[in-house]
Amino acid sequence: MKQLVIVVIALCFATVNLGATPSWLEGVPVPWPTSEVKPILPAEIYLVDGSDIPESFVEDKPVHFVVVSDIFADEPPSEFDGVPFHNSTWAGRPLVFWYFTNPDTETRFLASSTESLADNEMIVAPIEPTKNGAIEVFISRRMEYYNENNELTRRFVNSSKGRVAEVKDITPPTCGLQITIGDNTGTVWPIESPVNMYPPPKLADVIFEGSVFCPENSSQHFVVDGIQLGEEMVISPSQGAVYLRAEDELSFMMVLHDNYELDKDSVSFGLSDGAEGEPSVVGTANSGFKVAEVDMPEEPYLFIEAFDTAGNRQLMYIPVVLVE
Amino acid sequence: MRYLFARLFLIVAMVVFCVPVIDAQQEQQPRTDQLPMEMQIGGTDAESDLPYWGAPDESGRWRGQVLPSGFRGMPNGTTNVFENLEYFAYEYSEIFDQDPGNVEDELGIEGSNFVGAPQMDWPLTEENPDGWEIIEGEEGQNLARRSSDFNDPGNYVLTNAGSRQLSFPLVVASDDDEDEDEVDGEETERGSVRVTAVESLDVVAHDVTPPDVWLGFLEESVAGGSSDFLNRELRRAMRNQSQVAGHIVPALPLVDIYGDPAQGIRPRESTAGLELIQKGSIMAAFEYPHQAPPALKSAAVVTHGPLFEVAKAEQFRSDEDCQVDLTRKVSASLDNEQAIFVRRNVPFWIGAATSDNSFSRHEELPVFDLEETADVLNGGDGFFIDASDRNALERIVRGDDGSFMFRLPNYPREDFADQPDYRLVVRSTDQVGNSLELEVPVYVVQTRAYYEGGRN
Repeated sequence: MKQLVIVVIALCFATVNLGATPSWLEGVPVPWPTSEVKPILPAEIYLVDGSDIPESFVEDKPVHFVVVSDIFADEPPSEFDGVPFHNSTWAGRPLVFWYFTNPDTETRFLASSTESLADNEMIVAPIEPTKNGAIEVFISRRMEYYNENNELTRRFVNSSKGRVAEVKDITPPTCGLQITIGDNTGTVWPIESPVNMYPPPKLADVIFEGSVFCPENSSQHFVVDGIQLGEEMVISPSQGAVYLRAEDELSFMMVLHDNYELDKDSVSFGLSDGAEGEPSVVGTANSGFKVAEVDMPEEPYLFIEAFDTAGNRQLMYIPVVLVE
Repeated sequence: MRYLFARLFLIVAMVVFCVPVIDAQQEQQPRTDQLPMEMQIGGTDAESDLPYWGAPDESGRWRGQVLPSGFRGMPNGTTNVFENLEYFAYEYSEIFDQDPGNVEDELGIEGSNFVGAPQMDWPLTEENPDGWEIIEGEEGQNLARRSSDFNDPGNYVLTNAGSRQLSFPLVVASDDDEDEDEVDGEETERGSVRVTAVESLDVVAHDVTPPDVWLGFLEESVAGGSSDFLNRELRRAMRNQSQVAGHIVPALPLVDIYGDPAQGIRPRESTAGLELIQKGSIMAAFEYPHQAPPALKSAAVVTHGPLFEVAKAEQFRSDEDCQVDLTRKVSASLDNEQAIFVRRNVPFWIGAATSDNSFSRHEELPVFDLEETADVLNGGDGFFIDASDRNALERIVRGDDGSFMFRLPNYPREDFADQPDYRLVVRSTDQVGNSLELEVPVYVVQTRAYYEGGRN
């Protein structure tokens, strides 16, 4: 009787489990019975020099991997789980897919290489920083054999491996400023361009959009390209500037962005005397100001500074030009 | 004796007190990080009720039932489908479960939890002589169900690469401890393992499209003309195919195709660049609409040139009762409007070429001599001119250079009722048996006036 109760409880539990269908299994007829044998061979990933893969990688840095598995052997298995494969032969080269996977963003990147590599090698660039990333390889290879009825049968032998890997962020934040002067506004912000460039330094395009970037306050949209992304992002007055008049009052909103995790407490902005090195703050940082109420320096710049949680720093200077 | 009791007491004490302590701090590591993947195309009850030819679903998409194992001699383990039909592929692995219990059993660990949703991708590759070519790489749908359609016949491999991260305590408590994540009241350190599963399916998309056939006609009076010239021009014209939206559309230089198949096609008015048409006449029978579902396979026939009275394009639907060998046959029997008009006593050449979507070939179709015509009639590939009165076949003059010529006119038919009907019969069959048959009336006219006044 006690055993019966246990069985009933177990069945109820199983039913509950089956009933909770996650979204990715909707419409999938599971579980379905199968009598087919599924040959699976172990695999292990190494660096191409044979050493173990490190626990962490550097964002965008290509790494040359090799996977070791009997699926690359000359002969296929002759049996699996006690099921014999008579006269088994490989029927084709291995089909190999390498991925960098980022569970944080639920994205995956299929690796490909223009270099001529061995079947079991691939160069993978983990292009997103993550603490939970993974390098994965999936291999299938067609085998032909004769089954117990002496019928020619095709079956894929499979092998796969995933290694959890942290990917360290090396891309500085790409924060910007939204500036409001009376009825005029403007936003200036950088974007990494080209993306995923390695080795550093990384480059950015700085986008100017709005009427505050024009002496006549007409609408503007222009891009300053080739700016080194990081702490030396200085825009020259000939490339773009914020045009101010003596009666103007400025207010700011920050445009916050990082490719991984921004340290929001680190973000600051304001008016600086010059654009060399660290900001020389004029007036009060992190607040708007009236032009008439600040001691305007000879080389005024707006600045925005930000750090991400990995310590990458962005410091960008935007020239200020006073007009009549 | 007392010493022995003391030792025994010590051992018992160790068993009683120490073993639970050891159990409570048992370290654990997964014994594997690979799990099986189940994968199939079709197979649901609803799909099993579909005809092999497929049927439109509520959204109008044509879906079919997977073809039987061993279809067209394929080995066991091959999934057989038709080109130009939609099928659903399904996959399942325990790493896709809501609860990690089954995975824990496989890995031999406990106290784990999944980190996020699983990742799953469905790369589709096509096998060609150079190896594997990835047709589709990332889809990013992250679904265990995939809609698959195969636009061209061929050997494909559909793979599913699934993975999921599992977090687990490196040290687990004994069964006696209530909180498994705590040992001796402290939170245990956790490890991560990436559990993977992969499976691939051999998918053969079977050809169900009849071949295309192009016919060229050239009178001997054309400067530089010859049978070889005609065949060369015909092959060049077939190679000069255009691509629309990535798909090769044969005969596009000949026709204007409307976006809406219901509006059909019409002969292209401008044929600049197609030298063959400038010097001769052409008739092309080709798949239209392109890549239609198997049940709707049809061909369009377009005619152009001075040997045709009008430029015309017409559609012919494939037969509907050719279910035995699951191939498609399109029979196009043309009417007088698309008849070939040749001049009495003027030799002309006929060239025929065929191409098929299952392999890249543009090859000539042979012309059959009188004694071989039975082969065409019985299913062979080639062409010949047939006559309603078989005795009249001997009246067709065959030149040493491969030309044809008629001595007596038979058009207008009411004026030459005693003369036989002539028809050009053409047949092309691909490697698996899909075929296209053309029958075109041939009229021999008395004077040039009949066609020189035509619109071509």
